[in-house]
Amino acid sequence: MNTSNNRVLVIGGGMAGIRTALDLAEAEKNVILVDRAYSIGGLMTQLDRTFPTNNCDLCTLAPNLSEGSRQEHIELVTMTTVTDVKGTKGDFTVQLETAPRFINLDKCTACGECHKKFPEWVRFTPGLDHRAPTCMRYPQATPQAFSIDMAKCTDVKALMESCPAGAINPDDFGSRREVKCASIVFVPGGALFDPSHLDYLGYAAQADVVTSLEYERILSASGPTMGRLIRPSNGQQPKKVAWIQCVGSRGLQKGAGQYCSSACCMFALKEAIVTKERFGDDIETTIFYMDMRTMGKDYERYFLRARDEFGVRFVRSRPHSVLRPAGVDNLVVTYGTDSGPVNVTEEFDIVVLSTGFRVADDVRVLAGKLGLDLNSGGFPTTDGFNPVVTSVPGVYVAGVIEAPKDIPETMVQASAAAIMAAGDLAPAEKVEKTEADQELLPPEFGVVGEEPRVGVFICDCGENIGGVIDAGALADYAGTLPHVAVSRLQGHGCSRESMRQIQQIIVDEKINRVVIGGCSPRTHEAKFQEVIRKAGLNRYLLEIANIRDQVTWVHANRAEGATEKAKDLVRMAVGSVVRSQPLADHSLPMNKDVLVVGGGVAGMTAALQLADHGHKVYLAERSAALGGQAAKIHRTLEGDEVAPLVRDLVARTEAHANIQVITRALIVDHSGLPGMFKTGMQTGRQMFYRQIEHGVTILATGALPNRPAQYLLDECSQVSTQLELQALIAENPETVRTWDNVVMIQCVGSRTADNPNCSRICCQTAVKNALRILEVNPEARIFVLYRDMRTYGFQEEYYQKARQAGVIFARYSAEAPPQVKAVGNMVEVTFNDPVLGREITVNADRLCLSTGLVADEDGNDELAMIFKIPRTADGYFLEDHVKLRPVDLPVPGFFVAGTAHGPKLIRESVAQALAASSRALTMLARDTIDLGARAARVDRDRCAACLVCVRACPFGIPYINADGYSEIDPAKCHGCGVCASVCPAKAIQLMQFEDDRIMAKLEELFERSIA
Amino acid sequence: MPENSIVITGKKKSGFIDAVKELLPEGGNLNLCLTCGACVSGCPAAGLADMDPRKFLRMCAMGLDDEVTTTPWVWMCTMCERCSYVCPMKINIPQLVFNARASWPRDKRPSGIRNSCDMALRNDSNSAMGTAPDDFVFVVQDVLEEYRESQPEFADMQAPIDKEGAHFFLNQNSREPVTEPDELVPLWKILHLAGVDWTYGSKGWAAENYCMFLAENESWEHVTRVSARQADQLGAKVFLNTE
Repeated sequence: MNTSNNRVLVIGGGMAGIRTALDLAEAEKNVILVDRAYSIGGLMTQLDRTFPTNNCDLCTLAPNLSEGSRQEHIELVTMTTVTDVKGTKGDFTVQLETAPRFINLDKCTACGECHKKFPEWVRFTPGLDHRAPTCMRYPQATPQAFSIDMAKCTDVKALMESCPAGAINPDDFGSRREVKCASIVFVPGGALFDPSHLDYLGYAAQADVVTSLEYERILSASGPTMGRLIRPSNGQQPKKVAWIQCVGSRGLQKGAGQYCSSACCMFALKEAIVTKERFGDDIETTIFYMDMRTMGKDYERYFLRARDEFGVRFVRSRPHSVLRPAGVDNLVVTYGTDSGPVNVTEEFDIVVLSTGFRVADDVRVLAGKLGLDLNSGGFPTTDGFNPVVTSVPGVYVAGVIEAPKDIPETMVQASAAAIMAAGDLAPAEKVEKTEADQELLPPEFGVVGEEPRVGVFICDCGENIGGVIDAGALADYAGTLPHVAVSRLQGHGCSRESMRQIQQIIVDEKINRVVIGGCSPRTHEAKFQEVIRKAGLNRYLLEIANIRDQVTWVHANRAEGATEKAKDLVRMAVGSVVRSQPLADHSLPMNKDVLVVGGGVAGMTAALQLADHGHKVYLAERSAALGGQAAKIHRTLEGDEVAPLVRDLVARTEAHANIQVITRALIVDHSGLPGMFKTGMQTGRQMFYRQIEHGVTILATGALPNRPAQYLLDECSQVSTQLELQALIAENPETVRTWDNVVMIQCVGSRTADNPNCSRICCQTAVKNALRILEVNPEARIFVLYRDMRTYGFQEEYYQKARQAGVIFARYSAEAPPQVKAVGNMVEVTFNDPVLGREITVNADRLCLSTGLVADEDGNDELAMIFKIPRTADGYFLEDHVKLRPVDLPVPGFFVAGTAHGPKLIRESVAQALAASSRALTMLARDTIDLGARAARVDRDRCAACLVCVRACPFGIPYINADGYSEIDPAKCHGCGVCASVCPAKAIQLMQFEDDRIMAKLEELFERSIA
Repeated sequence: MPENSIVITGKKKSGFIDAVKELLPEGGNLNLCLTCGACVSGCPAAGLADMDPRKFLRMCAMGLDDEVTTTPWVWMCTMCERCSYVCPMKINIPQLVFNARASWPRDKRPSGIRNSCDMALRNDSNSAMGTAPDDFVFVVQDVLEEYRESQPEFADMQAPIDKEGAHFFLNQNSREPVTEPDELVPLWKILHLAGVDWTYGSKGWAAENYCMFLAENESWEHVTRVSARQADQLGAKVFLNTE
């Protein structure tokens, strides 16, 4: 039985809140999710596409949203604000106030009749958007319902009569209630800086000056222009678009935040790339910036692609003003350049202001009610080594409210906050699920032997499909195919309303096979399987023709050929689905033990979390001792000492009853499947072999300090890395006091042809060490030679402190790196200062190189082979989805934490380790492993017991049984299909990929060529 | 090594920029430059004498004191503050320029500005044209008389001088009373129609302060104090500088 307060309150229904709630719910914890808006999703629902994949957001987000409202452990409360919080960790009492929606959620079908008749009275847009789209906030909105603005309604009776479902309730007075909870996750997200008062940028006066979010809305298919890129002033297609970075960020005046908003550089790059993708040479894109901050995983490559492949132009300059002189149709941007003219005026059609994040005023008030300490920007202060832990025990933060950040980092923190909040819950007694708890599914219709009646549903996916091909014509075509009983265009197929309609049509028309022509089965197959199952069909009587990924995205510029190819794909799917048969899912018991590989900060953090949640953890460390790279670092930028953290982690890890530490462990083999893995390792000095059985695996193997042979490193004693420098400052300050001039060079061995990515940590390290030198030796002159200073988030304030303290930062370009020469016991460093256009030579007592991190090439390569995990081009482990699943690896049951994923700070590694544990917990909460139906099946009559399959199976599953034919246990089969392909007698079929279905597809594909 | 290259060696020496930082609140934020260039294109004097605000500040930061204290560019700056208005770091470049001007020997500073300042110091008018208080009083009364007669609707119009207890103490650029006396009248008419209680001072009536542009602290303070004292003595509540 759950006590009433044994649950987590999540305040904010944006991406962070949804992720936190889902993680908790999947780990069988109860959640109440409160959002002020009419539907959840937050800022991300307003984005057209997201970097670095440039996918449509709604498609990647929609499955998460509907999951959010589906989970039985989540109570979703919209249009609701928190008005008061009392109590302490374990026992909070919270007052909620719900505004009236005037619509009965249970009755509303979101048909849109009310809005069609009375658009003024019905709310559906996110404030920003003053021009009405013809949909709700977005087609996949959760909850799927409108909201009435009763203050504007002048005829309640007429409004009520407009609703066919009778869902309008004018007597809704809103409500107040008190809820109890054990912990709180505060994820209200960020507001955006309003540039109206910056008269020199013209935002308030000029329609063609827009914010980056408004530009996003203009690009969006669900936006005010239905995805057409036009100038707000005159409706014409722009020829030149400019972005101005850091508006409202990195500033000291006119209301700007002192911090860097972290996401805007990538945001602008994405908008520029999408613009170029659409219009190619017809449009020019220019980004005005101070420092290009692409410090995320693989983000540097994205920047290079924008510049080199798409031809986005970059101007390093902050324009002085944006004006529209009388008689000029365009916006005139005034800016200065480094080496060229100081006063350039250039005309643009649209100017986009990359406005940064800030904390909304009401959020600040609520933070006060929660008792949170805030920093100068109004963001809650957090633990130096755990970014989700606030000053109030039991209250956690994640996402932009912790510090400005992008979506992947938000997702990481959201999962981290989930497991921290879960830790404050009392252990719930296991409740047996009663039948009433489970959604009642109708019995499956028998379809074997029945004539196939195929239903084809073509999804236009907004502009994604409908904007390229004639989706209506495609549906008409599908209707002419054999066995097709129903074929129709289904709008946004994944919206709730569409799914409901599809379900109804299946029942009404006695459909027994279904084809969806839409997006990728990778993201949506499970969703549509559920729809047809609810309609009474076995979930495997489904085919998805991936028109979006395989047609409209890749052939966007060839509408005619694209439509033909879409027809081919649909015809193939129909041909295949008529041969599909109902299949049964298999399941196995779940092993609840955990293997963590790597005993650094990330590995130990993950191990401790999961051990605290009651799981047995094996922690395998390659070296002789725990600690990892963090043990070499003295202090963080913020001044926290690292040694106590590492000591504490090591002590707790070694003492924990649920953790078994295995040092000198070398992983040598691996088998099994998610939920029941077997991993073999050689351990100890004698390299004894042992095998661990475990349900999930966390990879936290770290990265290595880079040490390229450049700038006299290892040739001259006055040259060192930053890591060596910080040790010297701590251990030998007398030496540091003798220095008059120190030079630091950034990006040594990073952002180069060999190692194109940014090492992320070096800019803040240089700032940290420069400030440390000045603490010891205030008279020292320090020069930092950089390419872009990437002190993101609140690190920017330390960059400012360093400048304040007199550190001189000078930019160099990759084409003209600094020259160094050893002269006596000095190092002569010569560089060109771009502002002065003059050469500067510093006779330095010490040269420090910011050498960053590189992936452990050999170690990772070995592990990647054994575990079959893909890696990035630079050797880090590659996550399943860079945006939405940043700690899940593509192999189910594997998670990544810390610098094995990419360079990051200690606190970021900790957050990721917590996130990996949180994700692992969602799996470990299950009692069974669902294997699906994809398994090899042997036809005993055809099997000649030739042993080919026994030899070919990479997992050793088939064997010749007592009856003399090959037997394959479906519970053990990985469904890879190798046996089916090698069997000379064609005795083995892989379910879901049976020969006749594949052949049918091929026949349909080549039908035209053959005919 | 190129001719204009810079060599940095040995101990840091306190220089021009350090002295200016001492004078300004928050050190004028002079160390904080992000080299973003926002000031550059907004500056009317950018490009003159191969200089612009960012470059000037950078040269100060690099300790090129000989160059920054001799460049004639500081006299081309109009002190318009378009640079600091948009500067993300709110850097007080105008004050840096002011102090660079102050570092020049008096006889090397631009003679037009210097002579105008000297004129203002000659008598209590503060006038850069050297006009004496009596001359100003005469011109005002003479012009007022003329307009009251020729324009009967303004027969009651006043142009008070040294009126005790007036609410506003009004300043006047010397150019009007000396060369364009008729230009005084439109403002009087507005004040008259608005029913404003105002006065000129016989002392400190001139609004311009060339000593400030000359960056000569004692002198511009003297000029300012003459005006302020007169306003105080008359008991005015608000000082209106029309310059």
